[in-house]
Amino acid sequence: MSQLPGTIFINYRKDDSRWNALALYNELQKYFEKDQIFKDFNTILPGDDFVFSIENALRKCDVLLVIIGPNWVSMTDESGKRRLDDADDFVRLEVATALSRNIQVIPVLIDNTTMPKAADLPENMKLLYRRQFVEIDNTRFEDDVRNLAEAIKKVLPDGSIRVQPDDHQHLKKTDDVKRTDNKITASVARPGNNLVLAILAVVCCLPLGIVAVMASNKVDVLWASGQHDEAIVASKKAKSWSIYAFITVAVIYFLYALMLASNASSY
Amino acid sequence: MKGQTRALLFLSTMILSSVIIYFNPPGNSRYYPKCIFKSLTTLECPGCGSARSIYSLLHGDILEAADFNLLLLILLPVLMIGIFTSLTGHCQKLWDIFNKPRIYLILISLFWIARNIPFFPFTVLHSDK
Repeated sequence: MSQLPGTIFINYRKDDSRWNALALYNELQKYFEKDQIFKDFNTILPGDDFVFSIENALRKCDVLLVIIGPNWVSMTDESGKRRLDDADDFVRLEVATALSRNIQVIPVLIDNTTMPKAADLPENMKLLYRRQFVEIDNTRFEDDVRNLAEAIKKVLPDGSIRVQPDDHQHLKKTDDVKRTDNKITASVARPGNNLVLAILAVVCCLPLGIVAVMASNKVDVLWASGQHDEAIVASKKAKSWSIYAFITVAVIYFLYALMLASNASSY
Repeated sequence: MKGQTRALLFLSTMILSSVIIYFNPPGNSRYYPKCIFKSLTTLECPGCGSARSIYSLLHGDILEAADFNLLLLILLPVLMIGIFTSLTGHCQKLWDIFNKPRIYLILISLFWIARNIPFFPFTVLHSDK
């Protein structure tokens, strides 16, 4: 396998996902060189300025994987204070620094953990909520890591699908800026357009379903035009529309059943 | 596990509704609520006739199924592939060929308009005979 330049950092809480981080670290070596992946870069020596150390370490980082396990949000320190509320918490410092430096940050959800809500995140980590996450399930570990690796390859400097090797040499300064922009906004995975649900809604005699199909189309249009964040939002909307349609039909069925029952009893 | 539960729930709903439709001809049965759009406007929505269409299909009469709702007959294979891919993750390439919302948006809209035009040949698309 040809080596792609660029480095991947794995950020995790030792008490929350030590083994998952180790497993991910090992599995990612199938796709990347060992010296591209860093797991314990937060080993900071006594006397080091840790903010500086983190900044320094992240300078080389292209992708930061944030492993989020079941206790990631709620974990507290000895005094009962939530770790995330501690401004010196390593996880928080690293993620916040990476976000502020426009490093590609990918939340990696393990053990069926759901994405933390924006309200649960401290101010300087709020942007994490908007990053497209990747789920890793124990039962599909290898497949999930392969998908993650594909996503990472797309955002690593020369693995980018946008910048062909030929174009590379002709890059002018302005192009360089543009390219960085692309890297920042490039989402990890293309959001689903939820077309299946939308078509089901239409077929179930629900005119609302057509709104869902429209929303579904919007996801693809936005994605194609490079508006990735908007596409992710549209993807959620498309799903919501289908769900509204199905809730409507459930309510109608319920009312209809009630009507039938009351008619039957009045005979 | 989460995915498996979802798949199970989805498939059991599909099978259950197929069984209900198989044994209860939808036609004028009072056990099926009328389409809201149709009750309000007397016009047909793109999904009108789909229960009857599925009933005919389950009883092996494809021509009759097409007569009740042609759109359903066209979309059913697409749905099958889409559902299979989203539940199992297999056949992603095949699904990508069919995963074109714009086409369905146009198709559904045209079908919606056409089946409400009150003269031949459009009346063929109407769900009533």
